[in-house]
Amino acid sequence: MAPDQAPVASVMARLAPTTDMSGNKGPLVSDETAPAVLDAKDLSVYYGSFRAVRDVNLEFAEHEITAMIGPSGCGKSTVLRCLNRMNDLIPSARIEGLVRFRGHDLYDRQVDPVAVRRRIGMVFQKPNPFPKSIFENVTYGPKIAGTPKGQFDEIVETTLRKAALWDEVKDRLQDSALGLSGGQAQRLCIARAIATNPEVLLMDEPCSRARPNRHWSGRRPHARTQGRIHDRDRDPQHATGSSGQRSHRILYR
Amino acid sequence: MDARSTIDHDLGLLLKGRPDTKGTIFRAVILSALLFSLLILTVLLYQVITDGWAVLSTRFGDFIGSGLRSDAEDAGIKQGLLGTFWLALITAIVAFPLGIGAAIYLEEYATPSRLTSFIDINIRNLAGVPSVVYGILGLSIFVRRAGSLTGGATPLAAGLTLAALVLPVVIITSAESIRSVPQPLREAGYGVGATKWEVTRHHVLPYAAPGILTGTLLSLARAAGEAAPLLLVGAVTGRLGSRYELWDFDQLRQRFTAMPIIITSWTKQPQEGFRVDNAAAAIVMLVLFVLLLNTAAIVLRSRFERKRGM
Repeated sequence: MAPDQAPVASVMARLAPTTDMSGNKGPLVSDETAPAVLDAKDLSVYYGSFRAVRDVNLEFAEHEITAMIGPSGCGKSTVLRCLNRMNDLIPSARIEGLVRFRGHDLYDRQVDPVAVRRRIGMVFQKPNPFPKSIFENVTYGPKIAGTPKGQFDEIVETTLRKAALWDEVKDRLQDSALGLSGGQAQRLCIARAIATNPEVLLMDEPCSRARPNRHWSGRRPHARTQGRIHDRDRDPQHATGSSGQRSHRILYR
Repeated sequence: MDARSTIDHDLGLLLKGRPDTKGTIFRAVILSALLFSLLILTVLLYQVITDGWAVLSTRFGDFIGSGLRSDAEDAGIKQGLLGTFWLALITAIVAFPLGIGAAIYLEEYATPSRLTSFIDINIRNLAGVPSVVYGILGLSIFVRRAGSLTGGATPLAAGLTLAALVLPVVIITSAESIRSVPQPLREAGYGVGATKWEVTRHHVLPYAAPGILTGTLLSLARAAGEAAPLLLVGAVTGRLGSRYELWDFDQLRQRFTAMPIIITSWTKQPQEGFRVDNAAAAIVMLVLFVLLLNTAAIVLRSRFERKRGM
């Protein structure tokens, strides 16, 4: 299946695996020896007695972007949500196997899921801005992390620029985020996620609803040092491609 | 077919629809349901306003400013207004934090289990228990057992009884509002590293606040009109002090009365001045009190909703 024809778009993480879910190599394999930041061993996820995901083995290396591509319902979101313990919110969900972040078991009893999510950020499938102003949406993460207020203006501008939303909203930062269009709202959610400077960013089909246009370059996030999303590519030809073309690795299911 | 008749044909298609007989009947039925409810309300209000008008128009200040007297022309409802005000205040202070707190725990913190659904069902059952039963509960617990604290049949004991009465309703309506908060909003908070407390405080509660407020204030308005439990916990209409001012805390540990009690008492009097004129005037005042609470609920709700940006 070609990436462009995948019925469901991709999952983008900042990091790439050295092996994929089905054992295939992604087409854009880069540094095989990069250290694994995040990995899953024999991961199975259950919702009640239903086994949603079975024996997944994944490894994500530093400074890489990985896309997971597969049909609807194959478990991409489920796997992704295990990587920052977002599945803890679903009472019936439980996992078997091992998920590790820099070698530490994420599901260890002593691990605080809140601390996990501060280091492993997430953008959801549907845009879910807070019913607050655009400014407050971006600064909420830094605020609860204790970042001084004096830095907020700068954080808002840099992150909104990275998410290619700054030009559209710079004059109405105090307006409600609920007034944004679907694509704008999703870019705001990306800005909100990167405002806390997470080490890994999990993106659950973040662009499936975003209209590709020349100003929207979030579809081509570049891993820089620390794997930060970077929007230097403004080539409209590429902006319409699938997320698979932006990734270092692609996992097919 | 020439151009002209094509246009006529198209127009005909636009004009001729299927007859919507059931829809028309349905509309008539629901409209009459609305009108019937309004009619009952109008008749009721018209009746009490015309009956009470003589008192309210001639001696309004005197009526709300004087205490209960044996003479219908001099009698007033001051103690009743004070009593109802204090009962509502105590009920709100006790029932709102307890009820909203319980709802937050049940919805946000407790892991769903057989125990929580058992508790949930029982709270719903408690909301259906007749108010007289709460009166008996208040009598045995707040008046007798805790008599040394409440002072027996006092506004304190009665307020606690009314708080117990509205508590299940407060919990249910608050829990419903909290349950209606979209899950993606919680996920958004957790996604940027918020703690459970931060998600609850910054996102869930502000979103649920309008619903919580409406439910709780409406339940308070209902409690303010209750007479049965107050009769059981010892509300009286005689030998009351009439010297109290609004913020006089002494009255909290004294004998007390309330608007519904005065109304029930007056409607049983043989004199027409009490039975018709004064009772109707008191009813109008109680309705105004409840109306005030409901208006506050609506105003607060719309303010919260505007803050929420909807």
